[in-house]
Amino acid sequence: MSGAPEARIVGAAEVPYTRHPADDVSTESLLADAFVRVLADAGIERSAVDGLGVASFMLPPDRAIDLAWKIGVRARWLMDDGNGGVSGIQLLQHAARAIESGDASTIVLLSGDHFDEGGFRQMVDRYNLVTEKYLAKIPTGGPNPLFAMITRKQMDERGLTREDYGRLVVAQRRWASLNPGAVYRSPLTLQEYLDAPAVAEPLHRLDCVPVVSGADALVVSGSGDGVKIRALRSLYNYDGQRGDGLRTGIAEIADDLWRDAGVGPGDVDVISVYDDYPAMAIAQLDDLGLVPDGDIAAFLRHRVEGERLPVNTSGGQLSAGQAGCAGGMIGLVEAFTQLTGRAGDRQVEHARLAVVTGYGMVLYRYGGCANAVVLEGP
Amino acid sequence: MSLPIPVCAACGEAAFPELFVCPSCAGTTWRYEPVEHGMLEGSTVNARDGVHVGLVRVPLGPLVVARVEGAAQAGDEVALDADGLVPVARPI
Repeated sequence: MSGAPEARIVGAAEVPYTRHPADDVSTESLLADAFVRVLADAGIERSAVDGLGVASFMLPPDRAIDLAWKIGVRARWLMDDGNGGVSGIQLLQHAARAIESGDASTIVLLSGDHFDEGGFRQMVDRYNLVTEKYLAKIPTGGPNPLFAMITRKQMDERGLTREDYGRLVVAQRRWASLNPGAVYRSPLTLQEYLDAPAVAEPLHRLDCVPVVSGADALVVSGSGDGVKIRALRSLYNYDGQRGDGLRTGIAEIADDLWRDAGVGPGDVDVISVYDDYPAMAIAQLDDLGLVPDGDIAAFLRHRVEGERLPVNTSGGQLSAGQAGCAGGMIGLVEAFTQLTGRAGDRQVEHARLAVVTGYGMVLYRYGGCANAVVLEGP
Repeated sequence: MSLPIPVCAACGEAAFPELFVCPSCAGTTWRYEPVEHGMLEGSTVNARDGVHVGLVRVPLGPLVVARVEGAAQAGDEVALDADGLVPVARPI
């Protein structure tokens, strides 16, 4: 028997997302708040923490080390990761390896962002050098037109209508109505979805995640009961931006992920896919193998709408907004909450296995990063 | 009236925007080939400011994100130009 510890997620927390934070809220205050909350959730003392990982767009010029100082963590392991929608699973991957190799024993992972008006505009226009040079001066005004064109192509190729996307958005809002922590909780009808004002055809307002402030946190530890990592796979720059963006990197890691996990897509009880736009959430569900016959419209009508398949059961970013890098951890926090039986009114019965995906970092036309994890409850 | 497209000097692979190391042959020298037209594969209009954004397939292969000026629709051949570094597509 090996003496190496097995990493488990032993705590999770979310600083409630909000459209209108108080004047004294900052990115570092949100991350510090998440830290205090997650220690309480895991029931551990600060002195037990010997590793810290941080994901944030707006924290610079500060980094994880500055935050470690300000929250009083003396760390043997430290990591910064600003890779947006994949940052949560990436931090989890490295934290688990660090624990299993003995570099640290208890690691806190924090992700979050606070944007003011000018800060968000600057982040969007300077997302990377290619955006700054080739997109901001069109001006695209951010990624909406890019994903509008990807959505249109998906509609044409897969025979989807706006109603089909609406079924996912309405279903997520129904989950959000059961989640006291969601930002948008009032039930939504398909007609209200369809009637929302256009942003960039075929995208309308309820297809686009609003910008919010908030933070998420996890504790990963080598001791104690918790949520186990059955499998974790990543793929970055999977196609050199030479594809059409409809097939994400998830498609190429799915077989290995399910084989490592020893289960298939039909065996999971809870599904969290990165939902920056409905089209990309749907692409990831398809890439994971959840639509075996390829009929996405029927899947959305029968499984998501009819059978209430547990997809993004917190309401997801579509019902909470996107708090920058926290969008890469929101799915992990919800999966942990479900697998530990603490999801309240939205609890999925007998939830034992969850799959969570990360997607994002638009290099030019679409996201260049993907990762996924299969988690098992205690 | 053309848009410069980076082409790997070693193997001829075209890319947009420019890269450092060729994805096909790992070559590091690039030349620029002016392209005068392409096919508008998709487009949309930002409701907020009316800016028309399109995806143009250039004959060398890459898909380029362009500002569309004038009434061009998906499926149309368009003329390509550059406004500084920004690709611009116009109806022919």
